[in-house]
Amino acid sequence: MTLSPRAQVISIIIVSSIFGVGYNATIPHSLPLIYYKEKIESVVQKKGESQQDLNFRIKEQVNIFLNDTIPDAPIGIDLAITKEMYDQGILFIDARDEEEYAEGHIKGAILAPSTPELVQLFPDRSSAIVTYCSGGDCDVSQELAEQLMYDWDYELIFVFWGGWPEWKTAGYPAE
Amino acid sequence: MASISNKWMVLIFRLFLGVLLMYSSFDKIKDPGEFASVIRLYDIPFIDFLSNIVALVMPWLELFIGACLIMGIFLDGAVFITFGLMSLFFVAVLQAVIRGNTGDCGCGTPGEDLLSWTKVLENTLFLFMAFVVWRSDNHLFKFYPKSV
Repeated sequence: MTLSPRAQVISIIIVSSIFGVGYNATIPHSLPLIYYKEKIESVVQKKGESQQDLNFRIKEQVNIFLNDTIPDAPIGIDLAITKEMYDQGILFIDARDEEEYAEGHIKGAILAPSTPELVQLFPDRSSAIVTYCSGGDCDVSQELAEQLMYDWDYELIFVFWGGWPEWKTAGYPAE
Repeated sequence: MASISNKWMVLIFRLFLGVLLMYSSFDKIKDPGEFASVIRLYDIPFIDFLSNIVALVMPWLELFIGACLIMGIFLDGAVFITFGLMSLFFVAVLQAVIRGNTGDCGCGTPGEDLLSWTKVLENTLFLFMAFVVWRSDNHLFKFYPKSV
């Protein structure tokens, strides 16, 4: 039996795809086939809505995140949701470098330690974690979040997209 | 184009590429999430959404074509894909280095795995070898299927 080069190419690609996708289905925290950067979750004040009602909706949204969500990727969050999570005592990790961290960071946030130590520091894989960096184009908080979720099996990871600049501008607790 | 006539040189290139591809596939297969992150760090416009599927399939493709090159099976298809992959790696690394990206290469080859002009040179060499193997129409140790 002969097989044309084109048929060989197609066969090899099909077999590789089956193995790649099949293997992905067997690993913990398998990757979604199409990558999408999570949109930023935000709770926006409606026209005429009181601050009290807005705060209630923010709390409600955070409770849904913390109690009823099993995400397959880190969730991007805005300032209001981040602040509510902060008030609930959730762990914050600063993904920036040591120098930037020393210059100022969210109060209580810890500096992302080198990789092998992370697992020992936070043994409870189901507790929520918020990562942040310098906002804007900064990607290290997203990378850290993906590492925590895909490499170390943490289940509930949030990325505060506004990062340190937005937090600082809002005048929230810093040190 | 004239075929490459030095059969033994072609065989050496073929085996080298086969071993290289298989070797570099192992780490990527073990950790597709990390490989997907590396692909995104290349900052290639408009392909971020494909990074996961590429990270899942490409390492297995490397493993299989590496095995095909070594064992002499599905050789016509394998040499074509090898040349395609090497061209892709060459362009990806070159554009990243030109734009000043010095991050993780994700190449999976032995030694330092950071983007640099050395990596461009290395990829040029691999691309040349892949081209020679692809253009050769008379392979030693070609088992199944024989040329059509």
